[in-house]
Amino acid sequence: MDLTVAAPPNGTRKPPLREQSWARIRELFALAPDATHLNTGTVGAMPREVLDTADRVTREWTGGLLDVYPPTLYPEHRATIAKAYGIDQDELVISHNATEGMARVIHGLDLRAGDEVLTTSHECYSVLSNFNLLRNRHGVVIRTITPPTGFDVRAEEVVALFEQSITPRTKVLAFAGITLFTGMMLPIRALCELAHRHGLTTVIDGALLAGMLDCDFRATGADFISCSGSKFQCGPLGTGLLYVRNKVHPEHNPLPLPEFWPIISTWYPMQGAPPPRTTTSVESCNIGDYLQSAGSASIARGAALARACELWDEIGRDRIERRVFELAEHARGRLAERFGTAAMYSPGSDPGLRSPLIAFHPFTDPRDAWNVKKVAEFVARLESEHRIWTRWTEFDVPGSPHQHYAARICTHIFNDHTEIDRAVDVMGRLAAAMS
Amino acid sequence: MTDPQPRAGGDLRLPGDPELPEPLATHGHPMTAVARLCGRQLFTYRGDATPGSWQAVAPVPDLASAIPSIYNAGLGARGTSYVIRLRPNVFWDTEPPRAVVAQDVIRGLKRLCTPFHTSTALPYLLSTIRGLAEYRDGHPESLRTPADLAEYAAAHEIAGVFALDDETLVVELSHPALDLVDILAMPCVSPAPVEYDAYLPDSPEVRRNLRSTGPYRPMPGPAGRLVLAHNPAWRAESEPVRGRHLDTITITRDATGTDRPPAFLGLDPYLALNTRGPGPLRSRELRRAVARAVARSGPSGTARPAHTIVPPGHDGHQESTVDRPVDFTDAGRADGVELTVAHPDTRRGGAAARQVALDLAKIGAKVHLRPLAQPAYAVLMTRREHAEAGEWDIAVGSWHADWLHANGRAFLLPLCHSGSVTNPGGNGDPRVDELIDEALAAQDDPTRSTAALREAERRALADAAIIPVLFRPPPVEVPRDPAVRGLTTLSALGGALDLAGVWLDLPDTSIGTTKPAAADPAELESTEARS
Ligand SMILES: Cc1ncc(COP(=O)(O)O)c(C=O)c1O
Repeated sequence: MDLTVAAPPNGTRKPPLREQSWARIRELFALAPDATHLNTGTVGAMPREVLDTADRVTREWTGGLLDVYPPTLYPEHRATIAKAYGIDQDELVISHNATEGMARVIHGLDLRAGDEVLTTSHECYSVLSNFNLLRNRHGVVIRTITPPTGFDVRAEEVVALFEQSITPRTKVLAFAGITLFTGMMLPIRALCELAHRHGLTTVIDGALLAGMLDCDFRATGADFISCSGSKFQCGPLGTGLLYVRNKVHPEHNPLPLPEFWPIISTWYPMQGAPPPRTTTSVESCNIGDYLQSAGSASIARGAALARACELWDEIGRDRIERRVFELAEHARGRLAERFGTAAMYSPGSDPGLRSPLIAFHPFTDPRDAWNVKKVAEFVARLESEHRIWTRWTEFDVPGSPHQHYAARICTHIFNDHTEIDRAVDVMGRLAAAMS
Repeated sequence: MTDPQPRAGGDLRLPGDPELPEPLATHGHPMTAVARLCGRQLFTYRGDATPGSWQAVAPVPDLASAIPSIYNAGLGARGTSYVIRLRPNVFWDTEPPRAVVAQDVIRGLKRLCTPFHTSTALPYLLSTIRGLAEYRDGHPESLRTPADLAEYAAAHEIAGVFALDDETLVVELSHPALDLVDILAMPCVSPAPVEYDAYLPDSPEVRRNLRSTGPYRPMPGPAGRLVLAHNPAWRAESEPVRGRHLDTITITRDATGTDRPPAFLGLDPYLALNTRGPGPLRSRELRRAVARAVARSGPSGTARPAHTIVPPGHDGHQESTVDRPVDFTDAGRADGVELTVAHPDTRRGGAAARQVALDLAKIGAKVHLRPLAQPAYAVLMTRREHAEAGEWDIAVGSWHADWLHANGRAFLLPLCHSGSVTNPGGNGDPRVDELIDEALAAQDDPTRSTAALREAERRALADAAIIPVLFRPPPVEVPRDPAVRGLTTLSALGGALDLAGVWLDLPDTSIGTTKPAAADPAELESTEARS
């Protein structure tokens, strides 16, 4: 990829990003012109300005004798970003990635032996490993359900599956907003309402949500949402956003705030305890500060992520979401045409479950779905022979004894219809040749 | 002080059975260590690790190129699907050398699961690999010849084991198992070449036609002596674990060795009581009387009285609540009861049986000892028909763990589950089976799994279908030759010797000049009669 920082065109006053064409917006990104990047679910492409900010701020803070601690609370950056997600500064943390955010939530919850966490087998490895640690350390019981897969999955099925697995000992509902394996967008609000009815804390792995959805975190009704900053938000690697509900807005989530220990914190008092958590819409402490303040940190990292978020605000998050999904539907349609809906692991019929991550089985023989070699080779050849960047995923499918493998593509604002058409075409031909 | 560099050459003399079994028959076999020099496994253990360290107990890749994990796309998040990639440049000692392929591993597994040989490792495998039990049970009774068997193998697949290509094998499990890699590291789970289709499993014919993948291979030699020489098809660069420093290794019964027990304990001996036969031990009261009468005194030194089944140092070991000296007035009587005690005709087996006879005499029972040579003993201990026919009441057994970490199931599954081929006498408490099944299904949650196993152990002890006698290290004999260097004991595989690092510190002049016994052409010609 070409990572040189572009100079702004001389003397021209640019129209606001909100009004610029998608072709112009694509030029913001440090992307090689001949590469087709369809793997934002792993890592997005950084806008040149974001790269520039990371670079500039690193230099500004290098070799000086300034007090490096206060700026790492990122108070202004957090305030700006929080606004974009419908929340307040005290509810937002700039974390290191989705994994770190999830780990700090999982280990910060006040879970005891015998308490149950309900989650899915389609969670990211880093989420499952943290829950397993909790199980080994405290005797917390982890129940996993395997989400259904396929084009015709419906939201009600998914909610019913969760509901059936809630027991009197369930304390936490934890799930990915969008799963990385099949790209299913879980019915977030419906699951949070289910949790509210059962008095459960909701922990959402939102690694793939930030930068894709024009999303009001508070309105989801969740207690925690941990996002990646480097995927759809296109910030630097090693950035993330963590939402921690810190006040009670009954119209969104009527439950009291869960007991929560901000592990890894310099801000946490060295004597005494923080004030009790609020029961109203006015916060009793800045929980975000407790979590944000954890020793020295990269100031440039926060600034660069903030710049990425600002760019998103300038382009318009509503506009971004529409574009991403419009491209996704285009891609889904083309893939379904080429490979058939039976080949799709990602939902399609239920619009509420669709996301811009689309996982499918490329080959004619269904048994190749458990041939990791073939699926991996397909993805590798797309990259090496056609410069199309995708990935393969692996997951379990209800009722199947096999581990299934799928090819997965993602659409983002730097993609366009033509390259999607070309990619689907290439994938069709390659799959046919390999079948 | 740094160890001197190994020197090449010489002939190592080992005491042992001059008959090398087919790998599938090596479980619990005294020749396991020797077999491991000729046959490689998907995974194995390092012989040069510091005993007790994690390196000593952790399996390492052997034929496989890596330990499957999430990071190398070798293990799915559910924990039930393993993708194993074979290392290139590993060959059979065929003419010309032929690469070991994934189908060879499948053939090896299939040969391990036939009616013709019952491996004592089966409980681990059958309870773990999806479809393996069905594959084994599906053999029709009419099978007689190698051709019948090969035909069955060609027409039937193990549902959960398949090759994606020559280098890639998928193994699917019926539930997550944290010890799958250890299970596949047992030398009985070795690949088998297509040539073996012409022979019945571990038959005299196949023993005369063994193929090697390891650094050594058996040579035709004189009767009463097994000679291993260099395998020309073995390549050091595709062998991460085994070395080869010796010219030859000669195994004879009259070579001498000394005991060098490893630092971990097994259950040795224990008594299996026959609950399946018509004999008196169907009665739980009588079994309990026997359990109370057993004195549990062993040779001084490393042996300790055993009041539980899982020895100290193994996952799930629990301290016993019964640790009182036997009071024979209160032990329950067995006056007039006659009991047949079957035992291996080994030093340890004979001593244990005689002690049992003395103990049971104190409660009035009359004991008939029935010493059995290895093959007959193996059949008795793996075939429930003999128990059902009442051929024995008590069998003296011993069990040593095949791996030393995450091994919660290593004792209770084989010894207490009534479905295990290694528990010929069965048990009297069906709940024991249920608890072990529960533990197996919950292996990804060690706390739950261990709790279920402990409960199973308590119930099994109360049922007294198995009576632990002593905890003792496995019997390991090392050669007496003072020139032997680099000899280590594996912390897995029941404490088998790692012979692959052995070299001889001989005076310079003798290296290359001593003629290894087997290399004598006159001797090599007088072959054939080795079986
Ligand atoms: C759903 C999901 N959760 C968590 C992660 C881990 O994200 P991060 O690298 O930001 O920790 C990923 C990464 O792909 C993901 O897709």
